[in-house]
Amino acid sequence: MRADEELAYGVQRGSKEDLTVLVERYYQPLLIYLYRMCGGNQALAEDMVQETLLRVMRGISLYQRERPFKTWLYTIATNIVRNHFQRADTRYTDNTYEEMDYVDDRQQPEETITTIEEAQLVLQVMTKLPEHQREVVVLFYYQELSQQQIADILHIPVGTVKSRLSIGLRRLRDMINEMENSQ
Amino acid sequence: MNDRLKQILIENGETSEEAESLASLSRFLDKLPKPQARQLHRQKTLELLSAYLPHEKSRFERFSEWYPVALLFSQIRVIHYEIWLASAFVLSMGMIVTLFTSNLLLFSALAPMVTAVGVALLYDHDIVQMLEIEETTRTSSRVLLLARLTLVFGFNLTLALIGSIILAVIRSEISLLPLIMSWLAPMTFLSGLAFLCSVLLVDTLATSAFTLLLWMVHLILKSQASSNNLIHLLSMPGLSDMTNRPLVVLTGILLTVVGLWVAGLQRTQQSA
Repeated sequence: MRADEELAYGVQRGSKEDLTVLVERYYQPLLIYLYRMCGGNQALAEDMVQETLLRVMRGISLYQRERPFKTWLYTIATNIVRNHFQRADTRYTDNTYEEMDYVDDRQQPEETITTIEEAQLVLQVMTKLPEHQREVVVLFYYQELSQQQIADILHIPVGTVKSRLSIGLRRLRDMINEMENSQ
Repeated sequence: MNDRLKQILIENGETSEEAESLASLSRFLDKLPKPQARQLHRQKTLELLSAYLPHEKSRFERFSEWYPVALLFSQIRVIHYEIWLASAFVLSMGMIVTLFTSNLLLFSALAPMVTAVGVALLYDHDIVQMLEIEETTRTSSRVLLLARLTLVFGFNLTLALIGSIILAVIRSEISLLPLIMSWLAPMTFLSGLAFLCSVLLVDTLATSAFTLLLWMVHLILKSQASSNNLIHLLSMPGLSDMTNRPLVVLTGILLTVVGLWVAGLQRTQQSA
């Protein structure tokens, strides 16, 4: 399997084949990341994926092979999410059942409702987490990036990544316990 | 429980119990659904991105973007077009006359002269002004001048080589290598001298005249056998002497380097 950096170099030289491989490789992971960062809105996440990849293409001539491509890609994606939620008219609100796009056709109706309720709960809790902690938790747990990679993406020290991960998980635990107790 | 998470939390300094407690959140975190990428959207994205794909450059395009080549191409437009035309015309005429008269001396004399005059024309008042403009691109004036020298000298060198080859092919009694050697060393020397003079005098007419005069004096006097030391000296006997050719070439290169250095000094003083 060709390395990301080699593919990016190919894209710099105008190779459509290399571009296709890169898109195939990162479309789904980016979608998952952005979907979880923006509260389960698939349409929004898809737009963000497209915007991320477009920004990559616009900057591809300046990309240097020594820089890990994955880090660069997720940095752009994270900036897009941050910019989206910083705009006053797009303050994140709790995602309602009607807005969430998840449907698992394999499950029975009652299981589907339970699964959706659980997913809804997770989303609620995740969105209540401060953005800087949510980024670290999502990148570490769901994207399975290393702490060093996360530090490079977010431009923070590794120590800060570690503390945000711990604090973020503790907060999640507390919120989940609170919600479970209230039900 | 997520073992990876637990391991990292322990490495981060959490106690084993706390790490286990936090890692057990995975049973909850795993409930977060994974969206499925819609093939249509992925395809549309790829099409959109393809429009931004850098144009796949041909080998020639990549070559012409290489800095030294790009620099040379950029300087072609700056050099007076009359230099190219005049050089080509005079050398062609010289070659034709040599063909009919079998007088190799004519061609050997013309090639250095034409090149020296072309080089002398490189550094005049117009060029000085253009150098001032082009220095805003952060390319040093020395590099710009060197590029122009390379172009003019290279152009005349190529023409003279082609002319020599044609002469050698058509007239079998003419040997190619001795013919080339007869003009190459004087061409290098006179070009270096003309360039240095043009930088010092900033007067193409004076420089051209001086260089031509020097060469004419050499050609005329060397054919005159004389015991007069002054005349012998003025004839510059070493200039076209076979044994001195490496020294003559080196001298020409040295004169060029000095000219470039002086030109750079002048630009620095003017901009200070």
